[in-house]
Amino acid sequence: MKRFRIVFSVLVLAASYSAADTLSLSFSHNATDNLFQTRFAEADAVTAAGLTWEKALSEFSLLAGAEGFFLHENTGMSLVSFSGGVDYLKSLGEKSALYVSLIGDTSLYRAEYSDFNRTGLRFMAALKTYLSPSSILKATAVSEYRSYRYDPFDFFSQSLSLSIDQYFPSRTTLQAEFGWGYKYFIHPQTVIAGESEIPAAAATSSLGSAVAMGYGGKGQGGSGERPGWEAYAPVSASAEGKGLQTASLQARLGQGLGDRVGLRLAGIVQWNLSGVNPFTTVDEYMMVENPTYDAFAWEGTGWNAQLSLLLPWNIEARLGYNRTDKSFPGIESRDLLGNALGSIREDGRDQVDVKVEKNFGRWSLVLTYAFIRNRSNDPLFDWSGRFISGGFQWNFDLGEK
Amino acid sequence: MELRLGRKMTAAALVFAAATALAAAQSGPPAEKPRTTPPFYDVKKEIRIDGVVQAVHFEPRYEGTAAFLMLDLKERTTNDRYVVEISPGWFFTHDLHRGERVNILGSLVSAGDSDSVLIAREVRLQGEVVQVRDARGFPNWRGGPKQLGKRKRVG
Repeated sequence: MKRFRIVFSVLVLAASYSAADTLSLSFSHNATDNLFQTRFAEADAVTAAGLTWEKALSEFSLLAGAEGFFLHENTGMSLVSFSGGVDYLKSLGEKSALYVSLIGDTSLYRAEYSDFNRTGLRFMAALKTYLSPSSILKATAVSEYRSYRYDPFDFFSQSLSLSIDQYFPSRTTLQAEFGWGYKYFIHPQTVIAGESEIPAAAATSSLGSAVAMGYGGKGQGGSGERPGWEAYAPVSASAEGKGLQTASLQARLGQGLGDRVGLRLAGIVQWNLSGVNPFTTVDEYMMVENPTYDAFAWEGTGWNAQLSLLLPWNIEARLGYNRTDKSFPGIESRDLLGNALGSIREDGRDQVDVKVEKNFGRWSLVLTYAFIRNRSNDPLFDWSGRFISGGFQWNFDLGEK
Repeated sequence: MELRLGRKMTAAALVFAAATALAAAQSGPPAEKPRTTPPFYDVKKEIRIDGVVQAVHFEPRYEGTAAFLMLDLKERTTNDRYVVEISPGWFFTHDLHRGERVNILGSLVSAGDSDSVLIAREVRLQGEVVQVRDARGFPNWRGGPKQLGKRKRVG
């Protein structure tokens, strides 16, 4: 904690004396009754603070940021992350624009979770153009490389999306989007049959080692306490399972209802085209990214509805419901003792969330609440959880009007 | 496997390049140079208008910044026409089409013989409100496009 305070103070001072155009300071406090999102719920709170700096240089802008996340109970998951990069916004005539960014970042956890320490580089290019005054075409390409302290997490990914929309006089917008993605695990790995010992590295990560409680923290929480997991080790010859390829189709409908209400409905179908997850388990944690669980890890369907309301005093409220049905290729469901159940893990999730935001111009206040019920054929991941968050963002502008 | 990955990346690049070429073909000639005497936000000249988008385009506005998203707006009750300056990056985070209704608070910087020019501070549409500038008129739009795809925190 002391180290985080020092780092944060230095960043604040450095930013204050720089000739920045924009400084943004954010602070939030978050609490949940199920940090590790398993049936063995464990409550925790996360205090987060961040500082971002941005300087515009014509069509380019430089940006840098630092964030700190302090967990009150599972302090070993506390982390600081730093990012920096450049972006470029260029109009291509009057009806089109190109946006390109290159951002590097690094995240550092405290010792217990240092296998998650990572550095990464992300390149993004986005193009938006008007096909007609009431129809927009968008194309986005993202390339990302990440290197973790625990090598098997390392990956390179490439994704591409193409969307087109149409606005109708009934105040309805219809949009269709096609997505494609490929995630390539740089270091292949496979199960060592009959191996009973867990390699040291795996024993301190979530890879096939929920029993090791690497991220379980104390008590009954964490990733569970299932014995009987196989160990993993890298292999040199097999390339199978190194990459995950997905494709998706999304449809969205936006409807204006009066001057102060908007409704959005969206649905997605995602397919796994090739490859399987190379891990024994995929899991999520509140506020902390886990490289085993991301957009490439699943196939299935989802839909959501969101109601946006503009309340008196310019208070924005958003009510949302989200339903997903996912299966995880290569991930076998297991009982609580770790015995394989002979089926691929399948999850069905219902999520309700509420967000209230008040913008005061220079600073804004945000409150969010979410309730999630996750049903799974893997009993460890049959869980529910509540998440509440309150925070503010404060912008300092040192540039010209 | 590396060869397959290479082909996939090449295919992705080709699709993106094709989309870029399509945009270039659609876009016509480059926009004009920025004006020499840029307008500035004056809080004393703030008005609120409720209008319907007639057209959307990009236009260079200030030295040292990217081109701005501009709206041609028709006021709903008076039918007065306004040209509204929004921001550079906002174009990528919100989709606006001809015919959409928006409510804009901004500073009127000219009211000449043609359309009046309004520098937007607050934009309301479909239950959302976006603060483009703060109460004193300082830009608040930075961090727009780069927020795309930012990692989720919960759930």
